[in-house]
Amino acid sequence: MNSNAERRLLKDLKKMEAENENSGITATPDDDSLFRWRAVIFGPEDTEWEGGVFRLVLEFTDEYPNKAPKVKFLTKMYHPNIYNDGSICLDILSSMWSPVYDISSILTSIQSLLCDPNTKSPANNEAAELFSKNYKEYVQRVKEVVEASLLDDE
Amino acid sequence: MQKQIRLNEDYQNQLRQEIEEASPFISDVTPVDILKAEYADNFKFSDCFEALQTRYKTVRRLRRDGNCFYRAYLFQTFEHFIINKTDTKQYLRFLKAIEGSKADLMALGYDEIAIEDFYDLFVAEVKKLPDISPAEAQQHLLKLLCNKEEAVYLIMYARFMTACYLKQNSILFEDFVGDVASFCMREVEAVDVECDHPQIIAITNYLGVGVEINSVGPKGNLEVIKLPEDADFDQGFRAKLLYVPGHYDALYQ
Repeated sequence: MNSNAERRLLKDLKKMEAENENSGITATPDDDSLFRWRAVIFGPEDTEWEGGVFRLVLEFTDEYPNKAPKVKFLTKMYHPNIYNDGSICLDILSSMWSPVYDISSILTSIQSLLCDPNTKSPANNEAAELFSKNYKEYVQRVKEVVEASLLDDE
Repeated sequence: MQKQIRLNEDYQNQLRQEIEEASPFISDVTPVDILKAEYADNFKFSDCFEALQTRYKTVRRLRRDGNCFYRAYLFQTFEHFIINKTDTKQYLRFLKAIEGSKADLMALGYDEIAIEDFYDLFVAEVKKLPDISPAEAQQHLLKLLCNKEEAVYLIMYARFMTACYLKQNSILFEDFVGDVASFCMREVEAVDVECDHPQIIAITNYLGVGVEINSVGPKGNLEVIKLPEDADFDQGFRAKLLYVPGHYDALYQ
């Protein structure tokens, strides 16, 4: 019999397949483990992120959905709330986690975080400072990672 | 600075783990005297302690993990329905509220996949209560509500039902809590987040089981607050709780 976490992950998979054809996010579990997912977030249109293809990995434990997964960008990012190693500073992935979130809503939240950074809790100080003080330069740096993301096909 | 933030997080996790290992989720019943020693430094509390002692003889201590209110409330309520088999009126009201909760939540926009595992378990456990013998109440409930499996699901579903009532009656709450949806996100549905009066008013009204909260009043007197205040709730069982800032324990006569 599947564990609660596995049953829930299978439901999340079904929902991803049903809902997200045109939403700019995809996610699938690894062939050998339902607890490790690869995801892709496409940069939202009409923003500085447009055209980018950003890869992520999500790692779940047996305590999902009562504990948040670990989510990390594999693609090199430049964003006030994303650490150099790709981990993400987002409240719903830490202190504000709730089982109301599923894989689809986690990725949608990360997608909106791209265009709507929270400069109050920076994970990348330089990006946070450029975002507030020199937006033009910030956009330039974002466009560089967008372009690099297209070449990054592991 | 990034390193610092992560160190702080590690430190908090470590603290949390230490708290966990130091105390059980729910203790056995203990004479209330234990509280007198614990709050000896708190002169206000020691003044009202005698008044408390005339009302209650024993207490179950709850772990300080952010879930103490929900865990104590579920424990006493389930215990009441196991021991008082004749209180079918309140039990049926309780069961009906729970059975209707999935539809209520979905009507508010909750995704079925996010709530159904929680709902199914909660309904199943509530339906078992009448078949458990009073002699087994303590053993059954300590097992059910003191673990990192079922208990987590039951407490989380209590949070969902709390959010349900708050959202259904948002007009009554928004002056106190601001935007009700974001209040629920921050203060109700987030894992291990502590519970305050609006949440207590919500869950007790939703489930039809009130609470009586004993705490130290502003003048050092024992203050007894009933939530909801409505006399209707006095007809039925109320969970009996002791409140000290940031924490709830369960009281027994």
